Amino acid sequence: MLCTLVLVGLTGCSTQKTPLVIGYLGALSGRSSDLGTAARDGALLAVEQANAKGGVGGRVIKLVVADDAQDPETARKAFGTLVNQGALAVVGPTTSSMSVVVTPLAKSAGVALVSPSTSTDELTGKRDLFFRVYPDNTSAAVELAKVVREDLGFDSIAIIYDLGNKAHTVTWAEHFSAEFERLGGSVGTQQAFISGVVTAYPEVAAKVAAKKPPCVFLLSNALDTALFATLLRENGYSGKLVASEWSATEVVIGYGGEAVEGMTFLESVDQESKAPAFLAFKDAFRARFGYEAGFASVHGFEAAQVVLQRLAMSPGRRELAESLSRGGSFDTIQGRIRMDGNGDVSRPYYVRTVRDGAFGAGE
Amino acid sequence: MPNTSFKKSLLRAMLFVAVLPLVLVAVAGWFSVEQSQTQALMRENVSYAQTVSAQIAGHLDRVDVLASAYRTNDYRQLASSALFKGLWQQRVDTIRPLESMQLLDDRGRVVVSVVASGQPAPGDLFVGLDHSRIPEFIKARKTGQSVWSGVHVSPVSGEPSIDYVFPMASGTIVLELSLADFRSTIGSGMGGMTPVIVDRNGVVLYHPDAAVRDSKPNLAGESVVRDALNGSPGVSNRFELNGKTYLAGSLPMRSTGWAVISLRPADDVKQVVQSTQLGMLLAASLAVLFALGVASVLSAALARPLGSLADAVVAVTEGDYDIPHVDYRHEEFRNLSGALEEMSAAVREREDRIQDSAKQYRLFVESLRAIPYEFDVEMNRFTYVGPRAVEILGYPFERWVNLQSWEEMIHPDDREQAVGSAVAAAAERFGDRDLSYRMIAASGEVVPIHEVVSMHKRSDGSRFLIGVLVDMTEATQVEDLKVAAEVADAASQAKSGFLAYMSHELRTPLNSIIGFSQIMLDGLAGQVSDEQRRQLGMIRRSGAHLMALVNDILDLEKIESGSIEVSTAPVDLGALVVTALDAVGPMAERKGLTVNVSVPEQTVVLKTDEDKVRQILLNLFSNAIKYTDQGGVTVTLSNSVDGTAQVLVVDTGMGIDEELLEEVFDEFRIIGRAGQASQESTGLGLTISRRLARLLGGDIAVESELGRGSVFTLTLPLGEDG
Repeated sequence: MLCTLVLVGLTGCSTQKTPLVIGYLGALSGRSSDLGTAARDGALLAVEQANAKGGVGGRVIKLVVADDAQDPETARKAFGTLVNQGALAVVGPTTSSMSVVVTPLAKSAGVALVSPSTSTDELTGKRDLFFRVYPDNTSAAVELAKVVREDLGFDSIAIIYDLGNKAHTVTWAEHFSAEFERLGGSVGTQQAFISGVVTAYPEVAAKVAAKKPPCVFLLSNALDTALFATLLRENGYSGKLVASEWSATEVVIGYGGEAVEGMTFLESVDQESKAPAFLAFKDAFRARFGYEAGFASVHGFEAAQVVLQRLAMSPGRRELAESLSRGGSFDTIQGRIRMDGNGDVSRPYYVRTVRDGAFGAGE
Repeated sequence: MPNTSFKKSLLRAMLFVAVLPLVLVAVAGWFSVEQSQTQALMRENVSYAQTVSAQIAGHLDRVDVLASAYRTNDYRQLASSALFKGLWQQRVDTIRPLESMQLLDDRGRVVVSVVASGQPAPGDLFVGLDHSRIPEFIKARKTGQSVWSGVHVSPVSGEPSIDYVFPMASGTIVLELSLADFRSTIGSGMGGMTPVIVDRNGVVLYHPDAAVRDSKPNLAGESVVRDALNGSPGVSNRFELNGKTYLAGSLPMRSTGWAVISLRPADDVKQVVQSTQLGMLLAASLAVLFALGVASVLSAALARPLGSLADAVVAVTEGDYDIPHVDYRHEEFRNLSGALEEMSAAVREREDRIQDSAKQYRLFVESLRAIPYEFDVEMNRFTYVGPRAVEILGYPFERWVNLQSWEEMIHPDDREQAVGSAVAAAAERFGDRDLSYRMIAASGEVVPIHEVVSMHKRSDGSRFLIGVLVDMTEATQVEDLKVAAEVADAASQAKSGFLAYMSHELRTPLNSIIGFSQIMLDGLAGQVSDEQRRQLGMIRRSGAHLMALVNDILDLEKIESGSIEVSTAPVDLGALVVTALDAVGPMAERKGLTVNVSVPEQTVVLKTDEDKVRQILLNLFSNAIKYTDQGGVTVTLSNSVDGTAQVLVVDTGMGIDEELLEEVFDEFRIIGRAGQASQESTGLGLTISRRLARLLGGDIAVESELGRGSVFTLTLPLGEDG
């Protein structure tokens, strides 16, 4: 499903000059569409706010949206459409798999990609016009390993991960294991499943539950995380559950219920932040879209902001790509972030745990 | 005063009366059209929103109906029922937009899960999931009312969906609906209207244009959306979306808290309004044109009589008094026309009279020998001198230059007075002045002049004199004659008086002489001898002769002085002739003359004075006898056709010399012989007779041949009844 979106500045400050076009490429349909639409909403808000202030250099920003449908061919085509429509840069893709597919095209088209939520290591350290505001798997894995081993004090852990998002999960799991073991822990069983092949779920859950690990790390989307949590509990597992940011949404609580009580998540967004910029963003987002901004929306917003900040000085495709390739620090609603010339960022992590059916700070 | 025609004014007035209300109505209509059209379109909008809302509500209500069937149920009953699961499987498979059904136990745990076939995850996957933390579930259990969730991406299908959480007596049913199906039923609008659905936050859920949909605009800023989200319908003609303005009508959807909005581009509205307004304008313009046409015709028709009457008046002013009679329809024009005809006749009559009088006056002035003039006082110049100036005074026109020129023409003795009068006339006083003085003609002749002059002022205050110099020469002559006539008259009067006095003085002693001599002759005073008798006879005859003379003289005097009275009465002339002849018969007999008389058979009647005619006849007859010695006298009376009667007295007497013919009528002229006859004749007989004849309107004529005789013809008019 390919949909294109044209957003013209909703302000009265439109100028006679031609608008500056930015593309958005993400999962707007299918399994991961909750994150893809959330990130898009964040980017939308960033562009609308910029236009409300008169645009960039007096020119209106036009956000052209495309859906990759989590399909490589669709993704390539969608990217091509965005380029044809004059996108100076593209916010997205939102998933590692699609990012890997599209990045070569970005390089050849000379159009920078700024992803809000891609974590794959495959794109780390490469001068490939792929930039992101989201830390890669390695840094997340290392951090979570530290949390589990040192903060939570577990010495052994089991991992259940989704092979359906291989690009995201495989390296994640590897790095986590490596670090966890480096810190003196041990990784017990590692069970993979394929999201959607639900018949295998109970078996995987049973296997892991039988080992009675003190802690289970679920590396899957929100629904699958909720399902596995429920299955584990049904199999009598009562240990600690941890998960990645990937499943840190309302869905996991809504579908997990009791089973996810006490589940700890590693997040790249400080949802507890009282920073005025962040609170203002949350309020603006809630008012605009009617739901709470999750990490995907926050990062979508940030990614768009990165593009807009560099666009002011470099209102052309090549200039923008070059500018981004120089890296630098960016002001975001969560403070300053540093992105290197390869487009990689390191960011602080935050831990939240589900308590009484809601996310709360800490373990 | 600006020049306008009555017809045009009438036309303007009629148009004003016709067009002004039209214009007012059109203007009022123009504005009301905008309002009423907009309102009508708005109503359409709202109606369409209702249709769309009903469509969606239909689905939602259906879901509600399905769930409501289980209101009093216990989940345990349903969970153990194979029918239940099968029924619901069928439902989620066949009822769009239903995607899944989950039956929850008291704690919110899924006990039965049914998912539409073709979905990526099978229903059973969800069994055991704890939904107790879902906010809608919490709310539904708390309120005991069913709850519609907000729009979210379904983790199962990945599509935008909404949940319907329905609490049962024990347990809960959760139904999930896919919005994709909604969208397909709503369609892309109709009649120029676009349906838009926003969720409870004002974010667009549905718009026919995918681009708009995907930009997820938040329309809560629009008043109609706010109103609808607050539960009341709204209308607005200034709904803004993506830079375009729309006419919007909104309705709340109470179940889900959404709002349905029907949008119509404001430009469309404007077009509709404008086309209606233009239509109205066109109609009004046609009406105005029609009014113009009708008014033109009408005003022309109404003004035509005035035009023709005006033409008639113009004709009258140009002298054409023959106004053709036209029968006008309208009373006022008839009256005006009649008055005009009368006026024209009166003007014609007056003009005729004026012309006659002018003619008379001109003749009079021309006959009067006068010089009209105009003299400009300020410029001291004669600006006009009448044409007879040369004739009367002999100076050429060029001579008449200024006051001095005129002064030089005046008799030196009269100059001072004349000039003084002229100056006075030119003084600042209106009114006529007249003066008589003498002018010297070029020939040196003195011309008596009577001048009448008056001073006039022009509009710029400059003065001019208008006057007439009248040549009084004839008048003077006439004056002299008048004086002479008066003198003569006085003399005549004096003479009459003298004669009358003298006649009385003469008659008295004459009567004595005649009388006493007669008495003595009659022997009444004693014996008279023959010699005495002879001498007394001579005395008496002389006296009688004197008396006759005095009488004749007095008669003549009476006739001449006009103091004789003429009485007219019908007179039988024939009888009178015979009677008069009888009177002189003896005289003729004595001389041995024959007397013949011829009188026509038809009686000749005159209206005349009998006595005087008798006197004339007696005179003529006695003359004829007197101057005839042999032969006779023939008297013929004839009635001539020219209204006169003639009496011819023919004698065979001595006749009259041709050269002396007319003198016979002179006073004291006795033609004939001297001696005795002269003693018997006063010499006034014929004079008196002719005078009398002429007095009666006739005359006496004479023809004669010396030695042969004479014919005396008395001609008298017959009078009125001749």
